[in-house]
Amino acid sequence: MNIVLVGIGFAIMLGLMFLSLPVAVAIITVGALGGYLMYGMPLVDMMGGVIWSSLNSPYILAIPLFMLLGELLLRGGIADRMYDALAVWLGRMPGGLLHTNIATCTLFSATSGSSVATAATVGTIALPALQQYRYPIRPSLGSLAAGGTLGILIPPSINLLVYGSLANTSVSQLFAAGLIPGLLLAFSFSAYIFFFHGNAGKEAAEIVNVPLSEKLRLSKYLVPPVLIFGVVMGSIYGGLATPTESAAIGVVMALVFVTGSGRLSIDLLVTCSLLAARTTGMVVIVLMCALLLNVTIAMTGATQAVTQWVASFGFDRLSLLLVLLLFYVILGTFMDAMSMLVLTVPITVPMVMSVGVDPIWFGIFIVLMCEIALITPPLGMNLFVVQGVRRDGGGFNDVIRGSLPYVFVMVAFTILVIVFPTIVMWLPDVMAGRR
Amino acid sequence: MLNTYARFLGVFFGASMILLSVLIAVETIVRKSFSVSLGGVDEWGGYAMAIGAPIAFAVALVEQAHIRINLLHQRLSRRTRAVLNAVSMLSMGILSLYLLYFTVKTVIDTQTYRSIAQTPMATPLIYPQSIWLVAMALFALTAVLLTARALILLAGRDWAALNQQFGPASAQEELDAELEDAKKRKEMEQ
Repeated sequence: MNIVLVGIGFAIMLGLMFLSLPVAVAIITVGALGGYLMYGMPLVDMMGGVIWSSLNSPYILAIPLFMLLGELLLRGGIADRMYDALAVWLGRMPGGLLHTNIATCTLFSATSGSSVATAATVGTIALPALQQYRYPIRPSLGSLAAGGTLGILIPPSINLLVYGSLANTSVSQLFAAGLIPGLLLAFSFSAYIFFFHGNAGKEAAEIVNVPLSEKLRLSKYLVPPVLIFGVVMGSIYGGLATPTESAAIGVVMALVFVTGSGRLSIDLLVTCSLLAARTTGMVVIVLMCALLLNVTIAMTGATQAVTQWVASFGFDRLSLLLVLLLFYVILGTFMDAMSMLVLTVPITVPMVMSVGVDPIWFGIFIVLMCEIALITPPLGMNLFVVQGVRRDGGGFNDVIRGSLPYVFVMVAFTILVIVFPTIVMWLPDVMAGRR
Repeated sequence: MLNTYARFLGVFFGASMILLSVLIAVETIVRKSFSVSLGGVDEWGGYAMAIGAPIAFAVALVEQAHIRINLLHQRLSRRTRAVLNAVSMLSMGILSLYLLYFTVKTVIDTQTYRSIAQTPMATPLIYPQSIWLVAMALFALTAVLLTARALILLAGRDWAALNQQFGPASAQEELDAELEDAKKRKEMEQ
């Protein structure tokens, strides 16, 4: 197998995707046809045998369970009240409610895996308030679009679950690895607001000047999401439960809280089930096809071909990662985050491992790349959603301009974790007793 | 009617997942607190995932939610878009038959060799795999019927219907649904 063939395969896959064929089809076509052309039917048969083993997996089961958990918290109204509760605490900081946007998105991210739902919900609640207190529009939109991207980094994260299956790495470790970078990135966003938009929302100061008793009263709405996040992540970090088990516990807790708030109904359960089934179908079919493609990649020696090709450039760890950073930023401008992840991971993971990069660390790197993809035009999902939520009739350009500084913050942050990999690896190392 | 069908499948999927969550949660807590394992829940979870996945594929298919990149698509003429939508549906139909073919093959092998799960329960794999086969067949049937519909529309050159029924779920629709739901929740609050 030589590098030209791998390149042709990748190009065909991209071509099929650009024709708007389903991503799963594009992946399997190249996998099955490529395998057939190289080794004939035996290889295609081998791929077929993997279907059962790739689906019969308690690890993948974590995907629908976390989806269901997110839907229950969102549709059950538990997530909605977080904004008010956080606004009274954060509104007086320089930058005011912009910090509330970031903080609500962070907390929201910790409970829901969908960036559309995050940006739509937080946006609907936040934008009227932001406009009422005459916050400048671009930074407001930017903070919502960027805040919404945190969902795929801060665990539980569907993207990390999918990465774990593809790269054959521990999801618990990945979830541990995502926490500190996720929080640090949220702080970096806030630091940017603090320094560059510190004057925003001066007029809002009086609304948030509420008595402490009121602040505490509102804070009770933070209890359910924080408690669920604490139990779910705590049980994973403490080694008490697998991600699937903790997701199941989370679902049960969410059902209890939704029942307690009087919102439990058949209608709610049906809606949550349907949405969880839909997103599971979307994600798992792509994941399964990528796992089948992995068979072809492994059998045809595509990985070695790419690894040798990269080695011929004599890259060291730093330069290879910087090249990949550039590659992903460009790829992310026109490709959606999940497709980018499944399409590249089977090739890039062995590539970076050959220069000594830890696959757990690389999972976080790649999810950071997916986050950037969500807010880079022309195809940045969050840009589009935030534009769709606003009601002032302004142009799309406002969202792009408002989000651009956050792209730079993210790129700078990625370079920081490249230089200091410990930021990512500290918690998983502690968990595994390596530190 | 399609919506009712998707709802039915979705409810089946959701109900299984909720039931499974309760089982797994109880098993985990009992195991950690009393060091007694109820055994096998993990294995059941795997089977439920294998059986639930084709059901979820079908739901996503009916709702046209499978991931497609429409960067170029949205810039094409109405007719070209319609043709690509029909081709996409056809490709999903073929994919579903490809999956079904290998599912049947796997089940036949299991029956021939009387395969047993490598677990303490030593479940004969034919039990979970038979249900898996039914689920996969359901997905394939859904895909084939939808493909037939798309091809009929294509033959009748009904571009508008093709784009409406088989176009990629746009971000706008997803967003509208989210906003609608957020509004409904706000009303319930008051």
